[in-house]
Amino acid sequence: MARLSGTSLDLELHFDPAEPSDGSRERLIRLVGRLEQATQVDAEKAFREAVAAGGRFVILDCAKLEFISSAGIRAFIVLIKLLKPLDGRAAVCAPQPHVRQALEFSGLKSLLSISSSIDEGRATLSRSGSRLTP
Amino acid sequence: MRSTTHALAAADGGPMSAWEVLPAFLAGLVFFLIGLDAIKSSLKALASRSIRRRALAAVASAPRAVILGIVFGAVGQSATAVSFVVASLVSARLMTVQRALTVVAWANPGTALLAFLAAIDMNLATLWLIGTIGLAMRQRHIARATPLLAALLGAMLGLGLLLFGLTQLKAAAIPMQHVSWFTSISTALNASLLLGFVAGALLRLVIQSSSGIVVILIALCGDGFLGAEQALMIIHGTGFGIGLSVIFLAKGLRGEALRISYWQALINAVSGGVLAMWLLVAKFGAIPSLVALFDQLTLSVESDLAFGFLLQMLLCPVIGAMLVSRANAILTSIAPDVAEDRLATPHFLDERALDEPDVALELVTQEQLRVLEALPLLLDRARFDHGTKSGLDTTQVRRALDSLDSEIRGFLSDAIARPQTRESLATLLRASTRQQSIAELLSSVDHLSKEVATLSRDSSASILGGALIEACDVMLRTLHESFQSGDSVDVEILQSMTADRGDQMESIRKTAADADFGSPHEQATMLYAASLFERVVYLMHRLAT
Repeated sequence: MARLSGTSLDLELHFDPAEPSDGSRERLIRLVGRLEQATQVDAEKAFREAVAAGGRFVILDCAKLEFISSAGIRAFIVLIKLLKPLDGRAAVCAPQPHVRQALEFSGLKSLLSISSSIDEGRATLSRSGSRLTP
Repeated sequence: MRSTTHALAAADGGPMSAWEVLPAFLAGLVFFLIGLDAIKSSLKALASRSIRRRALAAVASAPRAVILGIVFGAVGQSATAVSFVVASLVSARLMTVQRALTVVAWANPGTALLAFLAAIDMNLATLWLIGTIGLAMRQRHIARATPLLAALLGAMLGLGLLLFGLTQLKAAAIPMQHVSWFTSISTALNASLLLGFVAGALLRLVIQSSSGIVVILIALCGDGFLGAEQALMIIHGTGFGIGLSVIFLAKGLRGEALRISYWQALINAVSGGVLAMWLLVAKFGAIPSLVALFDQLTLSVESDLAFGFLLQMLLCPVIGAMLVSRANAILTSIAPDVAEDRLATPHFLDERALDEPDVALELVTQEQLRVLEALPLLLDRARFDHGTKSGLDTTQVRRALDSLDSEIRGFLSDAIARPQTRESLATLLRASTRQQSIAELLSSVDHLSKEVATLSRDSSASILGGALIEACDVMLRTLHESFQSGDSVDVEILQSMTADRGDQMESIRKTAADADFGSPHEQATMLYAASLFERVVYLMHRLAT
């Protein structure tokens, strides 16, 4: 998994835009650091690249995401909007309690899957009727 | 014109002591100031939307602006109060700044009317005024008939109290010459013209009315306490005093309102300074003095002062006319536009669109979008993410948004009152209901932000409150975006985000009620903040549907 170019010191975004060998339409993005006003654009760029690369089901590994502000949550809403016409969905996996709380308070619980691990996130996306493969 | 006011006398008929004179003087001063405040309040009430619309026609030409200024000054007896009304006209785009400067400049000569009233006996007329207007205001159906009538009655009662105060002041001033410390002041003022100028400036700071000071001086001069030249120097000093007042009192003013106040200060300071210089130069015999000129007209000392004050006030618009072409640029550099003021000013509402419901609705929608876009600014005081802060003063933002809300509501009321089709009326009523929801949202968001801001940093309560603020910010921005685009996906997302939060709120309340959560204050604050947050979510959901 490569680190995307242009990411700031506060946020690292790890994402490999190449299609997975199994041909699935799942894309995994790992977020490390702080997602706020200063890093919102980087995150949105990564999300757009993931969708442009054929991603329909985006797994967001947030285990090492230390902080998310309203600007960061707005980046997630951009991702939701990108996936909506594709009938896709994103799963926020292993978020720290305050990140989970921020997403829930913002009312994104019904728009995103919030899971305690990546595996659970994958399972939730499968259960929601979405097919991870084309 | 001679005053027939009689001096106060002690119970035994002899001269009064300081302890007998001073209360009468202070009581007169208080009546005067209460009357002045009542007039100012009534003038503020005249700043309502319907009155301002009429003002638009009233200042259609420069001569009309001059007449309006004189009348406003004569009725209000305070060019400062006039500048307040005028500033509201400017911020509502009903008057240009240039025209406002003309109105304020000509309000000054209008205030000189009081000086002439003081030179005649107004006692009986004053008592009639207070008695009849006061009784009329006790009749609720009269006082509440229309806001305009209530404002006019309030202004007239204020004028009555002001004149009554003047009568008391005049009566108390006469025996003051027998009080030793007052005689010392009189001796010092009569010995130095410059001291008189400084005294005038300082008096204007204490008694916020130049015409009121002139009236007191008329009473003192009439009894020989002061010479005419000394009294005139004090009057000229009040011109500078207005400048000092602006420096001390204009802290709450910004942008256009501050510019208009600076203008009032500038023209008064220059006109007072010019006449003071004249008096000083005349003292050395280089030119004839004002008093000598008035003496040729065989005027009384009281009339000398009244005419001297009128001359100073007339000089204000003359100086104003000389400076007005460059004034706006200079004043703008001293008091530049501020973002909060721009927010308060409607950018789209136009009175000419009132007869076109479709256009009026579109203009209202654009203004509502501006309010929605600005709502997240109110959260600044409670934010964690400093990068998201706008740097604006949230109190001023709230005031600006309240003002804009009031303009939108007034515009909608006017549009609804026009004859139109049933469909147009229904659409406008929907817009009016939406504005009501926006106003409620504005108030709830502001309260939520204020509550969370009181929590001490890094406490459990503050972290939870901060999360509510960030969530509120996200939803507000999504609301603005969906309102702007009208896109069904945006609306759908907003509806999902603002769906019922009953369970979530219950969970927050349980967390806050936990004994380990924090101090009782933090618990109570958090419980209230949760209720406000729930209200904000509900209002946004209502706006989304």
